[in-house]
Amino acid sequence: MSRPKQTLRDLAKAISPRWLSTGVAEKYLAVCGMALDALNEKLRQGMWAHIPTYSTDDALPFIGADRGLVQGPSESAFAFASRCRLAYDDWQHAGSAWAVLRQMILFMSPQSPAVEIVSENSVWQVYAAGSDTSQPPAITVGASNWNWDLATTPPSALSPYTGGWWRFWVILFATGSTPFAAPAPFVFGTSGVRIGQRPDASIGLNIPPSTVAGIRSIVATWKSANTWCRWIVISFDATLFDPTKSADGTHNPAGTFGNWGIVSANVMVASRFSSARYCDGVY
Amino acid sequence: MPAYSLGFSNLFQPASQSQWLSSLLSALQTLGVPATSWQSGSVAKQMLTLFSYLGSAEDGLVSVAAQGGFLDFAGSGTVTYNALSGQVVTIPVTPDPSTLTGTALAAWQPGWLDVLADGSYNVQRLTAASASGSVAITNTSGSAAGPFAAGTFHVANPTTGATYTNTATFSVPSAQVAGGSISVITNPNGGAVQITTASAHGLTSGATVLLQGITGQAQLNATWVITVTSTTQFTLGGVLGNGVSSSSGKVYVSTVVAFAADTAGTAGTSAVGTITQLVTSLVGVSCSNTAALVGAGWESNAALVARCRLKLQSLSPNAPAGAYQYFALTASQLVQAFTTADATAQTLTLTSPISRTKVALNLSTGVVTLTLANASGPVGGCANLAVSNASASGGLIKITTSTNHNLSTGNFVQISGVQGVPANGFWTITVSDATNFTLSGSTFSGSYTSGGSVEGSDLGLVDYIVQQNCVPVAVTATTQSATQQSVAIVATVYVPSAQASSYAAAVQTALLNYFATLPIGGLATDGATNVIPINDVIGVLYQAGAVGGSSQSYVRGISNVTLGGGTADLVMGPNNVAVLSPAPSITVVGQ
Repeated sequence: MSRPKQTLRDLAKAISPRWLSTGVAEKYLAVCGMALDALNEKLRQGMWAHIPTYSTDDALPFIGADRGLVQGPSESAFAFASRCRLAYDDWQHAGSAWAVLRQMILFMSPQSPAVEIVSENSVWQVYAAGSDTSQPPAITVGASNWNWDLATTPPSALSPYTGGWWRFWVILFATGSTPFAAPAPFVFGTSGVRIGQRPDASIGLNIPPSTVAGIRSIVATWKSANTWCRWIVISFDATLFDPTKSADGTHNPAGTFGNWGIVSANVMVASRFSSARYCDGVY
Repeated sequence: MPAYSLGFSNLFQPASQSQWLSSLLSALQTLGVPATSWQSGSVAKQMLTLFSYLGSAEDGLVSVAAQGGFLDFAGSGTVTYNALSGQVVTIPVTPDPSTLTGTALAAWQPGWLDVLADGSYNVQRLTAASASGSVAITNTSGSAAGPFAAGTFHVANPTTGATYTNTATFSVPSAQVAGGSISVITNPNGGAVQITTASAHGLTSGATVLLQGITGQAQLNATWVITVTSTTQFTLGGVLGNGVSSSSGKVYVSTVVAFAADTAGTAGTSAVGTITQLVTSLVGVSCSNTAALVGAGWESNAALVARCRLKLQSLSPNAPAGAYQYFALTASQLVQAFTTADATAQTLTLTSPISRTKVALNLSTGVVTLTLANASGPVGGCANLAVSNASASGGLIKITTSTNHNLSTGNFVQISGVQGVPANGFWTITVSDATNFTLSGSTFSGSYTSGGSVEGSDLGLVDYIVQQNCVPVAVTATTQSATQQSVAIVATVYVPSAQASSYAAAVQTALLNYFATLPIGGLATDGATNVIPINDVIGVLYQAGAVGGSSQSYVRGISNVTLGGGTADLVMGPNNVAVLSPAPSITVVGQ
């Protein structure tokens, strides 16, 4: 956008008679003109303040709030301003897997992890790491290769509603050379750490709870009301949760993930892949 | 981003006049002009002073405009500047019409928030809506009168001066005494008050009656909605016994009529039992309201901001939760035009805007449930109510519903899915009773075989709008009214004697307005969810005595507060909407 080529200070001088254009009078007029120019500049910046990429960085949280967006923990001001610019376009896709995955990836910026959404009926929507999210994710209709808890025995108190096409799972891959998260095992009691005393880490993860909360919030806001995100999974193993593999219990759940543990040979063992973390979903 | 920046917060507040003058003088000094030593009465100094006032005032307008670009600041921001009079003035970026009354409200104009909402979100502020509800008209000694066409009969609240006009045609029958005289009044302390009549009363549950002539318990001489317990006995709704014996009196049958306030907004709000004055004078006839009539004021700035943000979610055809809320909250602006089966054109709007919503997913079925409430509480009408029969009645089609339809004569309904009888379509109706109504202009033929559902009145219209605009293909979503949870409030409040009378009226309105905005399912506190915090209610009792709209109150003390009969936070059902019933019992003690 162009700015006025002539300042009010210059204009005042240009139209003033000679006796106002010299000496003290000139300076008097110049000061008043500069004050008005400053006010005009404030007006311009004020009008631009709510427009992303034209605003100052400290306005971005408010611009984001007006466009239903929250800046990611490491998302740059430029990236977030760009996301704000596209907000109205993006909201037209709200309620779709595309929208949920895209917003998650942009929230994780500058990281661009591989992410997936898989539905109860084995429809996989996948973005590989570094994908361009302006286009919809690749869709793979699996051959019944997603079975989270239908074979869970006994039925889980945590998962009393097995089945249902409205259920889906979100999977983020913390893999590659600079993963956005890593396992961070710490044992309550043994190291003096108590719940709430590690704002920098979640249970089993080295990312703060606010990041996990941010991801959950995105899923809650951008999913359709008639769907239930059962779990948000963060996988440290790129070979897990693979749309091309079967529900064999090695690559994908084999129906026994409804409980955290299962009894095997009279011993309670973890029922889910240990190289992933499982955050409760949202409905 | 600008090459140089004033900084976000600096854009929002103007420099004061003295700062402007100081800067101007300082700049001149820098240029070698000895301005700081100018005499205060000199022409140069006076012109600069005048310029500084103009600059500060203009700076204030620029600051308002800068805030006007953001929803939150446009809604709740303020700007402080020096007026030309020299006074320091603080103004809101957008005056909130929901907080204005009288001439200030009359002079209100759309502000920056309205412009932003309209221009950027295509969302317009909801206007004030009239209080509406039922008033019982009872004839105790006069002859029959009427019929009174809609708009021709008027009643009033003598305390507030609010007047109301009937919205449906009705007649006042001659005095009808039910069951001869009252033979026994059972009045157990804390239990239901039961009336026994000398002979069969002929009443049905839900009827409204006026008790008169009772001695010993004068407060029972009022209008009540009853529950029939036998042919000669019934109990009174909205009151508990106090153990004091009483006797005699008569039971008069009331005619319940729909009324609406003549003035839109909260000025038309009336508590239970306060609309007691007939403006249309009829000898031997009295009136009273057994439920509060609650008007809806202009949409507040905060509510408009929230609806703008929900609008974003409505842009998608995939229906995030916010889309359901947006369409429900905006339904009163979404005029629907229909043509009934008898070719009568209808343009429908809500009788009261939806002000509270809740969206929930049934985890075992995947069905979305949208729960609604308006300022009064539950939303009238029905949505997707099952038809159990369609029969003949005087040549018309009579629809029987599986449960109470909550409709009134003159309502507009949509019927679909009825098999065997030509009942499907849009109709105006005449209500026969709680589960039956006839379709105006219909002609019965055939034989009902199965199926059918009814949508009607406010709840039906909102459901229609949501289904048409929001619910995706293959998704099931239902719309329901929040369930009324009646809440009794008892308290003793100490105020200066001079304010006792005005406080007694103000506190009723304040409590009604507080309850009109409580979310469905109540609030969350540190210790619990789904509650009405008793401290909030105490705060309302205190603020009802606010001095000139400030946070200070002339209330000197509050004691013996009970909420729903207890002294702690009141637990609410998750889909309940709190309604003040009976009218709050506030003992005002003048000191």
